[in-house]
Amino acid sequence: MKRLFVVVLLLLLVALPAQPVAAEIVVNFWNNFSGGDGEFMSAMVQNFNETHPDIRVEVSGVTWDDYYNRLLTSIAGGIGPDVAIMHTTHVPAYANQGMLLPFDEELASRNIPVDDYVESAWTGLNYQGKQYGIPLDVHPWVLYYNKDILGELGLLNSAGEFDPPTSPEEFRALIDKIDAAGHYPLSVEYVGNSWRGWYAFLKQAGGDVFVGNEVTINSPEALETLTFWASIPLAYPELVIGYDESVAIFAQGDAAFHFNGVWVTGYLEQIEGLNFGVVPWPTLFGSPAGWANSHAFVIPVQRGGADKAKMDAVLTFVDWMTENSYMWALAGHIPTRQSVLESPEFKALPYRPDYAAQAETVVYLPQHPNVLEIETALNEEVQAVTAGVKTPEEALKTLEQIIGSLVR
Amino acid sequence: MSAVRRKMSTGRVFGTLVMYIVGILWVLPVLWMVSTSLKPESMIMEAVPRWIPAVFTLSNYQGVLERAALFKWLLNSVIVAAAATFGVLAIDSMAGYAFARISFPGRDVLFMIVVATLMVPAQVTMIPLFFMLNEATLLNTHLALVLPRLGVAIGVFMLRQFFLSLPHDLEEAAAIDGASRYRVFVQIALPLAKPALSALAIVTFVWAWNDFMWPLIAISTQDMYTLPIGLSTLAGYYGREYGIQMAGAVIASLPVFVVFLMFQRQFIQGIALTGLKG
Amino acid sequence: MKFSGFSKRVSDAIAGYVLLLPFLIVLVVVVLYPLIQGFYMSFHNWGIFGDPVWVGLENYRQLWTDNNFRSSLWHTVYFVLLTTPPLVILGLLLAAGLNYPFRGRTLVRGMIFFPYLLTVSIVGIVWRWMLQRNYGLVNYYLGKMGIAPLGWLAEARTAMPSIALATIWWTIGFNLVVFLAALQDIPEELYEAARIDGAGPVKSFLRITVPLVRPTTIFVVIMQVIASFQVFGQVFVMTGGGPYGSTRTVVQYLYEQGFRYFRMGYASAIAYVLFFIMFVLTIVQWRVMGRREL
Repeated sequence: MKRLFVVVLLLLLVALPAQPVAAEIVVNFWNNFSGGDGEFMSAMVQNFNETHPDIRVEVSGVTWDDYYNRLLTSIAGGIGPDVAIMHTTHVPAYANQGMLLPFDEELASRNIPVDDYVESAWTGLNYQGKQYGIPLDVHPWVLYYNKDILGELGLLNSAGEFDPPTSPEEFRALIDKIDAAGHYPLSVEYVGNSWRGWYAFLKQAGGDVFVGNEVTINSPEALETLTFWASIPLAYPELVIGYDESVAIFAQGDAAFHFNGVWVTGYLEQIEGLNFGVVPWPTLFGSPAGWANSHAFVIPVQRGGADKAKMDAVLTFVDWMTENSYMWALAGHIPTRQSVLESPEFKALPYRPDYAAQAETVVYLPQHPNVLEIETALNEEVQAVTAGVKTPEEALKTLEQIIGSLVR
Repeated sequence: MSAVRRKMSTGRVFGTLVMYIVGILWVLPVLWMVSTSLKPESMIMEAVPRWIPAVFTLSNYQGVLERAALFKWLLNSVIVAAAATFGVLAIDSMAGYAFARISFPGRDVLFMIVVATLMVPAQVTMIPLFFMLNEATLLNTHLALVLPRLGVAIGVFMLRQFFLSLPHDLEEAAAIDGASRYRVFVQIALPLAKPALSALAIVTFVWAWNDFMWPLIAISTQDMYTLPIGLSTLAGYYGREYGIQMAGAVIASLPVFVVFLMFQRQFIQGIALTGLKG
Repeated sequence: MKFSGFSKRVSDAIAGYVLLLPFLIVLVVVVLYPLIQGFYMSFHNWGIFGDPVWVGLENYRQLWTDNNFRSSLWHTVYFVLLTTPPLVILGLLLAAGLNYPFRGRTLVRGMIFFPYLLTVSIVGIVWRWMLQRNYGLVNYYLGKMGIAPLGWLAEARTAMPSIALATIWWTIGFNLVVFLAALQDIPEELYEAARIDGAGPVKSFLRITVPLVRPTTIFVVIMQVIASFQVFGQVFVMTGGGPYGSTRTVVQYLYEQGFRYFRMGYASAIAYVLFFIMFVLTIVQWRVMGRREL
């Protein structure tokens, strides 16, 4: 008996100091956040690591220009990260290649409050009946405005806020008026992803890029909205600029309007002397709709498969991150958990609640394994139209042909 | 006669002047890179660009070293380029010698095949290589970057030509003394081939150092980046932070600059001897 | 005697293959096998994971009608046309300028050659900065000459010429050195004789230099066309193929198809078409330029 006691004691002594080391699970996490996003993300991960002594999340590869190219080659090589950030639109392409693990089994065996997630963000990650990701945020394009410039022109309401226009004519008249007054009317990345703005209007007018296997892009709705979307840069060619410049001009207080994603809020509110407001994407055609994408957590397929303990750690991490996405909202993004959206601390934030409701009416690009190429085609053709190189008719015809060969 | 000479000499003076101007024009981008890297962020974008910074700062250097693993990338580049160079010298000199000096059945056919592979652009073999190295779990390693370099036949071709141009006397004398083929190769032929070998070494090193597309495909984690890949990410990452980008570029070009100062003659002879673009 | 001759042949054959073996193994593994495998892949729908599906000539048929491929081919040819003549002609002129001794000649040669040693990413980020629209150095000095600022890399009509400009700056040193080596083989007496005949520098350049470096010129042109045809790094770093695809070259397209859109079979087909085009181009150049007498 005495001997047994000694043995047990010895075992305990050996086991005790070793335990924390042995139980610490390292989770390798890749994301593509830079600038302000990157700082908020690092702070969140640090916070998680401090509160979870048994898990250590290592953010590696922090950020780079061609994030997805690295992700692709690493997953293909079976050496992908344990968990990664991926845009919702990218998921079908990767899932279709068998590069992502579905979450379904993990969700069934754990207490993940699926109902707490904003429905559109959640179902956007469901591809062919399987859940391939857990959404961290929704980031739509919205309309930022400079209160000083609009105030000077008498375009604000009695509360000092801007009532968004409700028709294309009204919006165009605003642009002309601001320009005539000697201000830079609208800064947006026409040399870049300006197709997102057009896509929003296309959806408002009831059109779409494709439905199932059928291309619907060469429609009267598409022509009308694209013609409108291009009419401003064609009338004011000096507005055709790239992303960095479009942000800089608005941040300097020179531009009256700025179309951009909500991620820029965190940056703009740090600019001293910039008096700005933000409204949801204006509804100029038919019913409300705005372009958006989401950052989601995905689990890449790894060589040798995933072990249970690692999976537990990953799920714990993902759940914690979305539950605490109030911190992520500081960067500007809209959280995906109802509990966060309804929390008093989120509602007390400046700007965010102004556009949070937009999460309900956002539209993602339709799911398709070839959607990445479709997005590139949209990007390039719309750029060609806003640069005046192609007519809307020509671009839509080209798009119909390209997208047709991709969805068939 | 004297009129002709004077006309020639004014032509010379003019020509020399043009060369000076071209030379200066050619280093301006490099100087601008250095100048930008030494300016504080707020003074980089100025309406009237300043060649000499009004305020000197090393903050960009500090910034880029904090945020990017430049020295790790530098080390990766050195390892890969050095390993590729040694590997190429070893196997190419053996093959070149065999083709030049030893007659064996199938030699001419094999040589034709080897020369023919020079026509194959690297992009053709990249995708299958990616899958092969993946199977072998060699992706994202230094070896993955070195291996494809070893299969470039230009060195074999070049060294064969060189060995053919050497006189036979020494080797024949050694053979009569009973030395084996291998000893003749190692002790007589190789030392004679020094100029050709150093030329090949230099161009191989430069090519491996500057390799861009293959590392972009074969490397997926930041700690394995080579300098070209790592630096290319700075452009996207730090969008408008040109000071940081330029500081990274200066650090990355500094070793090349020092080596070039020391071995300018060898560099130029190496290029002139092979005459092939990487 | 007969026997020893035979044994020498055998030992020679062994020695030959022993020395050759390391290179041959590498060649088979990293060139010949992938060459065949790539061709095989080009007849498949080949993704990242999962089983490839045989599609016969479908990839090639699709390439034939792929507008993006066609435009990328055209952009590549455009780049070759923009870079080859200046790189060859300017390279030769600069070499001629450096072929006379003058104070600081080595320094000037070094100044022009040095950029060649920089990696393509440095070249890309430095030129992106210099060609920036609002604060770029190039626009500033053009502005002084009364030229309105251009969005060099943001506009389709200037993007490819900008990439070509950066490429010329980057690689002319290489051609310069190759030409310089050829020039130094031309005997000085030829120029002396021309001088006595009253020929000026322009005349002796055209009458003596150009014809005598002809073989080198042919060589440089062919190498240049091959190198320019495979342009990738500059495009990747400076524009990523934009704006609106106007600088997407064949290799950039291949990279996108394979490593962005998972179409490895299609990308292999692109690689083979590129191979074929370059092969034909090289043969044609040899015949056209090699045949004409000096």
